[in-house]
Amino acid sequence: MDAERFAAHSLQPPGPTSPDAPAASAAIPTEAELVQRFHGRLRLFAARRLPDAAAAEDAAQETLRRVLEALRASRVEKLAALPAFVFETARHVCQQQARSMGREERALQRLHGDGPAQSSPDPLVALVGAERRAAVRRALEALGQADRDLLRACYYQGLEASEIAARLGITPAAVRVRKHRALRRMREILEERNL
Amino acid sequence: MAEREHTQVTDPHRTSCTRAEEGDLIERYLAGRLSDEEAEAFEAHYFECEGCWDATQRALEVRSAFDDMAREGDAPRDAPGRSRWATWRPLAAAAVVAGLLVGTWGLVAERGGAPPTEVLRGAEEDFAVEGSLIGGALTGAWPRVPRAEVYRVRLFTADGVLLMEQELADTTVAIRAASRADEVLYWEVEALDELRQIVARSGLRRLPVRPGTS
Repeated sequence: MDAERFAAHSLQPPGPTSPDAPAASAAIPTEAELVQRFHGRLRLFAARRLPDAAAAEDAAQETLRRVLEALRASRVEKLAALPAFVFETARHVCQQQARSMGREERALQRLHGDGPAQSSPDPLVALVGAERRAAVRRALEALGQADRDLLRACYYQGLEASEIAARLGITPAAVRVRKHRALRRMREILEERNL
Repeated sequence: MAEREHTQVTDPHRTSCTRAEEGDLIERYLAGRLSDEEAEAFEAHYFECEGCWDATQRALEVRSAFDDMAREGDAPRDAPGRSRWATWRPLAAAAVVAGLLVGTWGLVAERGGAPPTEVLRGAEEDFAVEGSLIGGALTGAWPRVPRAEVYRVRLFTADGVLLMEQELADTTVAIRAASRADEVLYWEVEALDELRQIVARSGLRRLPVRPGTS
């Protein structure tokens, strides 16, 4: 990986630091930098493994804490390996949390006879802040009906390109092209309106 | 990682990585349609790839915005497909229901006739159900859900053991429950569309026991 590409991915300002240099000899990412880069990824990662948004947030925070601790203790060999290290740490944290939650739930059931846990709403919705959701919604509402329907079919109804293509009487490749255009128009609207 | 060979980073937020676009990967990931291995491989990738992470975030925002629109009554033309990640289910081996019972609709009579007619929107459940255990039989009713083709009714013990699961086209149920007379039971109803995606759910409800003939 050349210096320019490293700088684009690196958490510290471009410098003479080699991407292969040990993390201990380079500036350790600050907590804020770690949060900015990985918090969203960690929340989504955890949402797939844990039963609710609160548990996912706990797992994300615990992962960041452990990663920061590992960086300060020089346990991360190379900064270029940081994303993989964060990923593996998150896996362990989520596994531990899922086991712990399972034990706690069973204990509560035995103790209180409260019955099975309530089903949770879609955990993905909680990952996007209300303000951002509102902005994206306004942009979607400004799209044409066909674009909006297509994006809804792709991202909300979870239909694959082949399924949408069959409904519209077009090819899956054409569906993907239309989807990209609709997304681009949506981004343009967001930028134009500073949403 | 192999996918780095495909990235040309000049702008960390706009890479030419095409992995997320291959085979509708993001859509399938968010809908829970990838295998665990596929999903984990994609997750490992978006921890590394800014472009694919950006694309995933945008998809998530779009999905969330549509969810808001649906909850506020801007209903989609077709049924919403909720993420299959959604919930933890305390399932175990199921017991088989012993036949149908012609129900006494005491519950409906108490309410003066018709079951609830509105699909209610809430934070944790999408529609209300009315049900009880009468004479050892689960009897219940719920409102018709737009775009629902079939309703899946499940009955659980307090320990989360699945006792019974049945799919019905109607919005009422009358099924003998294979359980002890004093056992606390819970039930839930899920409305499924023609693609068998869940379009609405009642959430788990404790089943009150009412006296009746066995």
